Amino acid sequence: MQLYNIGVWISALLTLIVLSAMFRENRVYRAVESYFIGLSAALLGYYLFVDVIYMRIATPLMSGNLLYLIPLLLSIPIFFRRIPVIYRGTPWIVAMGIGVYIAVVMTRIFDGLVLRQLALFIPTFHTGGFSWSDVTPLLSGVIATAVLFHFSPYKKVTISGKIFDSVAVISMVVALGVLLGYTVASYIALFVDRIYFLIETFLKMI
Amino acid sequence: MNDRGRLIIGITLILLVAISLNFSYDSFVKSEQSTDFINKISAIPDGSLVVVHLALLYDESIEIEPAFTTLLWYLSRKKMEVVFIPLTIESGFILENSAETVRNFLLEKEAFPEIVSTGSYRASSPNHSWSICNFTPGSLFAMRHFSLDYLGCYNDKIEQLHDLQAVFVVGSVGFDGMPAPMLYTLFGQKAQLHTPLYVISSAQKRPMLEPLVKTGQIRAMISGNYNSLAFAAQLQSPVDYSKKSVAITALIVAVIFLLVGMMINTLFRKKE
Repeated sequence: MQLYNIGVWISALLTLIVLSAMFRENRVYRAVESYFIGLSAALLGYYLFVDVIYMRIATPLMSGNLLYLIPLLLSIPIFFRRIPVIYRGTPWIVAMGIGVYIAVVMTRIFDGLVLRQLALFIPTFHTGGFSWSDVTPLLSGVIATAVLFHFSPYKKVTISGKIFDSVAVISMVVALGVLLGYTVASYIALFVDRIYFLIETFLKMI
Repeated sequence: MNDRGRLIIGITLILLVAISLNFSYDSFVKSEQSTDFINKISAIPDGSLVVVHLALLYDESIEIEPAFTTLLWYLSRKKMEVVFIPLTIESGFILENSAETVRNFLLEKEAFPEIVSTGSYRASSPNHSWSICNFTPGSLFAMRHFSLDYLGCYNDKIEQLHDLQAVFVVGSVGFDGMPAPMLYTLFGQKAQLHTPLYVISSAQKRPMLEPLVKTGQIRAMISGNYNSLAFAAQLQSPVDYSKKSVAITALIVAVIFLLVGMMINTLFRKKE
């Protein structure tokens, strides 16, 4: 119970220090910020080591599965940036990793996101179960944005190009606005939770 | 904005939250998403085996927490056999907190199952415990987890998974811009023989996941604060979230006022 109380005091103190940045950025706030970043990095480093090196490589190797020597050997050059002779192999290894990743991901994404969406859309189109007013803004936004990014000739603006640009910019601004709105809402929830902690758990006022 | 202005706004917001936390609502909150979710999960037979993937980070856990805690309570009430698979470092801690919250609010504390970290899937023990498969911490591994090593956690108990009735993905942490529920539909669903997928995510990921609900790849979804609180209210969760929801609503109204004020201020400045 005493340990729990110490934890609550530390949490409350750190919360108040972080909130003090609303008034002015100060040295204590910066120290706490560094503490959070350092702690996160240390924790992530520890878990990466345990998850990858220990669980994925060392454990199977110790149980006699020599196939795991291949990923171990392939990972070694990445750590030798200062020794060019060894490091030279790194781009090949990274390229292989990316190639395998894309090969795996592309087919799944095409199946899961493109084909299934089309399969849903095409029958609805035939049976007339959708309204153009619902679909038009979506389609025009997607097409205009795709044209803007992939097919617009560099610095050659035509009238049709301008229309596409406007539709694309409006679509992107709306999308970014929605995303920002959701982000603000999630930060509001975080803020309320911190104040709730200060008032309920720390000060016991509720 | 100068230091004094920021301080005044900050203190006003803190006071607003502090005051509104003392009020709770009595009216019944419900949403389309939560109603749909409840209707669909009620079709899962009592005592079924379900898997709950936890792809949570602290910053989105506040949004998701009411729905997640209520889900835990619901699963325990329905005597489900649950296997938790944390995909992030924080997930284990968040699970512990939510389980503790439910336990504290129950009159019969023994009714809530003990959650045991097993490292691998273990068939339910006589005292109705739930197991955590701790094997993939770190969100970077979510994709690999779903695609290549999804069943690795179960060791030699894979054959018992044919009774799996539902898969839940709670949280949205993912890989390469794709949230965990999407990764699951792309990489994990085939391995699980199209077991129904239920998702609890943050509102930010809703636009990405909504099309998957329409195609049926996700059976039902709850996203964001409002739906999460509505889910808790509709299932009559033992934990009272009404104070927090009043504070969140009050703060959203205040922030909208601030944003509108800033916009008007900017427009007038331009004219000058």
